[in-house]
Amino acid sequence: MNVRHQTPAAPDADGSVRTLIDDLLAEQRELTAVDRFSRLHGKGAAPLLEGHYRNLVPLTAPRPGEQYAFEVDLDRCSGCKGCVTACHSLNGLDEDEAWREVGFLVGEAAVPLETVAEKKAGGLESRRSASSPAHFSALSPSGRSKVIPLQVTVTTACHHCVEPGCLQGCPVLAYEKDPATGVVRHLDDQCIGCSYCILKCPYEVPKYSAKRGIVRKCDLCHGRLAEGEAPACVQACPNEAIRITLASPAEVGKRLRTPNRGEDSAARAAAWLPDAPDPALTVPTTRYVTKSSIAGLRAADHDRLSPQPAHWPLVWMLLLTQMGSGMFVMAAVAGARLAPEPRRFLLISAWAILHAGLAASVFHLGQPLRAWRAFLGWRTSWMSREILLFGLLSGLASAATSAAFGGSMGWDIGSGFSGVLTWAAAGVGVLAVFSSAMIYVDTGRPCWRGPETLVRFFGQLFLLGSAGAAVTVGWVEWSSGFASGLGPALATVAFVVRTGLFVWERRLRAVARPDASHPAHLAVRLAEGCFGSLLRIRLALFVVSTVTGGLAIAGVAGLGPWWASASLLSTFTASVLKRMLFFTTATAPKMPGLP
Amino acid sequence: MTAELVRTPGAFGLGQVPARLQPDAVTTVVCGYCSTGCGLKVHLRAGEAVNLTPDPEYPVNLGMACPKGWEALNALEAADRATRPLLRNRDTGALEPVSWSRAMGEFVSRFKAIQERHGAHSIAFLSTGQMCTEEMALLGAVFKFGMGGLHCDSNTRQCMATAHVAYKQSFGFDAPPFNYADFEESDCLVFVGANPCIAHPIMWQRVLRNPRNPEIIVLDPRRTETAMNATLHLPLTPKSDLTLLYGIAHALIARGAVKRDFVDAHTAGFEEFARFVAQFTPERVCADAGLERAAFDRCVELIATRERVSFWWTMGVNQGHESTRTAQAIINLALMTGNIGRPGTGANSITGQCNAMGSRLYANVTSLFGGRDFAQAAHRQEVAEILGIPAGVIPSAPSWAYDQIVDAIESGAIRGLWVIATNASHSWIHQDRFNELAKKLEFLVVQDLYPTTETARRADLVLPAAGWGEKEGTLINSERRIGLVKKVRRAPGEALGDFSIFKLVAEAWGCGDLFREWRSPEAVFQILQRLSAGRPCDITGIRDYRHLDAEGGIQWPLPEVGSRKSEAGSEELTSHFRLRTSGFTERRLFADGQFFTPDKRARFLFDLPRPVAEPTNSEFPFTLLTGRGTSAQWHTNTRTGKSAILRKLYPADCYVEIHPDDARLLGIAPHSPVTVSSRRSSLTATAFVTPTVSPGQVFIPMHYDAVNRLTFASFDPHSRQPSYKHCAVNLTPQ
Repeated sequence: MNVRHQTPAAPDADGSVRTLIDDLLAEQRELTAVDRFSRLHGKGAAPLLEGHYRNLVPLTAPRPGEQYAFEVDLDRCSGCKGCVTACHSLNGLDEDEAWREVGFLVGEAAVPLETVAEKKAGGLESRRSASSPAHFSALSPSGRSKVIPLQVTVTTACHHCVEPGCLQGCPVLAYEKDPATGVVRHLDDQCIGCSYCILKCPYEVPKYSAKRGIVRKCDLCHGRLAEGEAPACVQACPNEAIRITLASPAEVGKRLRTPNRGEDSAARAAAWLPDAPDPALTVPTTRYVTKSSIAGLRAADHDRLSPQPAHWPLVWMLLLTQMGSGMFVMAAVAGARLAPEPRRFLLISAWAILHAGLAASVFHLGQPLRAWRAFLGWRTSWMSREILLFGLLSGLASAATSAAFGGSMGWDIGSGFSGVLTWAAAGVGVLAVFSSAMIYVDTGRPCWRGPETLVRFFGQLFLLGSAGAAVTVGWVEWSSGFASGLGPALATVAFVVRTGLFVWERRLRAVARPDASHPAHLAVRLAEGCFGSLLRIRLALFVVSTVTGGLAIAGVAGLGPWWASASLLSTFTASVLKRMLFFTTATAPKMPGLP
Repeated sequence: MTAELVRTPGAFGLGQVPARLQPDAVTTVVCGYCSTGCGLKVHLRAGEAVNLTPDPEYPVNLGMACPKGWEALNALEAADRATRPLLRNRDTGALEPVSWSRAMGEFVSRFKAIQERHGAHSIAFLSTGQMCTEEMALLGAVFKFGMGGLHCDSNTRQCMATAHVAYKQSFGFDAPPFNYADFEESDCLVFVGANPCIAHPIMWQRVLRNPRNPEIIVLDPRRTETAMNATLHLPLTPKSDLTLLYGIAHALIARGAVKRDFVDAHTAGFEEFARFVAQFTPERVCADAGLERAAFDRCVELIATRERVSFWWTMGVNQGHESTRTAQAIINLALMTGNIGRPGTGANSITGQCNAMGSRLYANVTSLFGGRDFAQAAHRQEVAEILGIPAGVIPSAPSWAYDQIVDAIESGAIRGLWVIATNASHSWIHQDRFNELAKKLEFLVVQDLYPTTETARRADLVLPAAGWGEKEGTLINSERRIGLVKKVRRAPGEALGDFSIFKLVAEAWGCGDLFREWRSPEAVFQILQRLSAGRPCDITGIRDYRHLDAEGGIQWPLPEVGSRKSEAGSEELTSHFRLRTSGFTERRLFADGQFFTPDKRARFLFDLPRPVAEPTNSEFPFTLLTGRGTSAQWHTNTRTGKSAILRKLYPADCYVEIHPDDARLLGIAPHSPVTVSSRRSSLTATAFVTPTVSPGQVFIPMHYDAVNRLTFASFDPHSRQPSYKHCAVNLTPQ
């Protein structure tokens, strides 16, 4: 039906009849606020909130030896989380982007009885935090008189650390710590999107934007501070719980590093926060203040098992570069015992595998075209060092391989020269893999501690290197009799390394599983809790690769290279899963989150 | 890329803003989520909103907002907005886009067909506290005066019906007496079943501005954020509030804390009340409420001795099985101690939805326009004359309440239902029953921003509505402040403002003639002003929308003075509303002790407490409490769920708060999945083990869609508000 005007509708020029629906739809499209309420336009330029935040920002710029820092009064925060939305809106961030986050600390906090008496002193502020818990404790339904249930909201942004992990890890110097203000700024135009800063920051501050291929992070609204305006979060807190102070980096370092790293959790909680990352790592300048004793509280997401990203390009990059490096090591060690033809085949395979790995790394980058600068951070960044070493390795590997082929093509450059180059490639390969490991060790994540990571990475180097070499050498040598060549010996190395790694990891898990303080505890729980089926597949692959590896050593049925290939295939597949778990189970201490 | 984050001076008093969102104009719009009624300064470019910040000059929020307000525009941008009417294809069962004229044709023909077969009263609507007053008024008028309907209600039944009835019975009119300055001017604030830290953060901001070092008493079974910030928390057992309040009254009488002169001059029924509460001895009350005597005594002492005591309640009271008497027990405390009509005092209901207050006065649902009574012929006559309609079209019978409409669907008395801007399939208590009954409806129309709500997905016809910010109108906040919503965004596709949809319905129904004068929201506002004349909620002194805009909202009442419209208002207009301490911008009621009852006296009303409808037992040993999860969530999360930023601020999946002792006993590990079951249904939730709930109690936020499968449908007999705060459940680890 047509819904018409009461008055007879006038036909439009084209003869159609305009209905009420048309009118209402047209009216709906008009924006009337400006026309009807324009009185408010063109107000003065001075920020109207200035009076609100005047006392929440320093009167002066930092002097030498000072920097800007957040201070959060946990007692004033009521948990509204407006700071997060204000950061998003006032900084024009992406739809899902905010540089501030919130979480809870919960538990039962002990409150000294004298705080009850403190109640009557002073104004609202001194009363709020001190007395209220004691009242509840007296009334606790469970009858415990000295403990009180407490939930504290923790708002957290970049801590503009004294020793920023992000900055130290960045391979392209895309971070700077402003010498005048101490603000740790991210230079978006420099960023190559390698995400290493995300692993380096214990506080999950830099966030990767897939849309842009870079990370972004809190800049403390430095432009606002420069104009005497408060950062977005400070402006927006209804309860004045966030303020900007001038902190002395030296003093902050002293305060956060005096309590023995990790051992005295109460002292650390007092100087920083309970159930939060060890502040000695990067020396965060944010100060959390409270009058309650909150050392006994735990993060609402304490111990929650949450799988981390798998970083597939890195999985492939690590495996293939370790395998390629390992094959160069095998070629170097085999030396003259290896006939020229299998040697050439081994080197060209190693070269190809290594470069496939290097190529895979490019897919990890958000901005690969900017990546040529990735060596710039070599002074502090293991990633830059890794990139330099792999660059060198690429050259040496190419040279060693060319030299080996050069001999066969009649250029007499001497087998000795190729051997030297192969040793050089093997040595640099070992160093490069060492730097790969250090990239992760340097994050300070407990599950990526030095010993375990080095065992894992060099274990792969030897395992995949020997298993790969066994196959490449084995196939070439098959015609002349597999058993008489180096194939079985290489397969034996693989067999031993594989078994050793297996036993080592089983023991690690057995030790870490029941021990909550073990660095690998959470990773083991996460692996067994969320990736149980993968672990079972890995076990099956271990059995297959061990059995076929044994058959290869024995050359059963004259099918040596076949067995070795089967063993390599299953070993490699297991390694992919292993490396994937290396990333997905890499739980890190984090700021308190939501339940 | 660095350029994307450049900030630039925003002018308009904004300070720096993102350069890419720099406004060319700003205007203030009152927020459309909760009843706080914050002013949001919308940043405009070419008339269209590109960003917003809380308005520092608005007298309510003083430049602050909660996360919902900050993200208010986001809900309009959702990909799943309804852009065309959707009609269910009877063959395929799918909702298919149709034209507005087809949609209106179906609407009219099918509802009329139902009326022809089953009587005029066999169709009903369930509306909302989330629309503008003008829209509610038009809906109520069209449905009751034009369409011949009678039974209608709104989701304000779920949040505010109790306060409405309690005030009406005690004060003679639904008149929350306070203003927000009372938070700042009180010596002792008593929060009963209220958690403003989370539910009304901007009101809590006002509490923190109180310079008088106030005592803060919180009555709440949970150790909420507000309880943690109190000076005295009484963790009473769930639903022992009425007993406790009577006990406090008794103890106040016993210690001679009654303000006799006020009671004698301005109240009625105190002697009976005093005799009645004699049985509520401190011993009995403390035993029933599970409280220590010292805490009870301290609470009584504070109320008795502090100069200005204010009482604040919200859903913990309103959503109870004897909620009206509980609210009145709070009112009784304020009356007997003379804590009303003075700064920093009052028996104050903090409202829930942004326009629950508008609904209470002008929705024409439970009360006739302007807080009048449908049953009174004189009232009907008055309204008919003001509106220029025949008195005969105004029904004299009362509408059924929400729960009675649901029952009537079961009995077949209601066959057609029109649901507007509410999500009953999620929010109605014991939702499985509602959803089962919805299948019985011959015609279900849902009018909403999104065709994806739990209710809209069940509809036969979905009408695409424009939302807050895409239309004009007024909202009335908790302190009776009428604020303005403006059109700062274009609605997507063919979505229409609810006002336009109701106009369209009236024309299509053939009753458009009755509403010729109801041309625009502002024209309706003027009609409402006429309807308010001489009523306690008189707003004849407000000139127009621009007057409201200039003042930063205006509290009712504001009667016309002499022949001039609002002298006070005119003066303030030039002095500007930033002077928020002025008596004009923040006013409270009953300073003269004159109430709206015929004898001008407030009533003491009371009843014996009744046991809860579904007590715990060995099979269902836990009490389930529901309520607000975080300040980033609103009701059924229909709108707040659209914002990626808000979604960061609460757990994505349903969780249940359990005390560590209970978790240990049941072998429930933190973060592990738990089955929570009631006699009605069960759900899976993640265990959040926290000592902020008491042993024997569990808490699930109301925003997760499954929670109301568990709740038990019991109702307060006076307000018919559902009791969401108590049912018996069991927990089992999975």
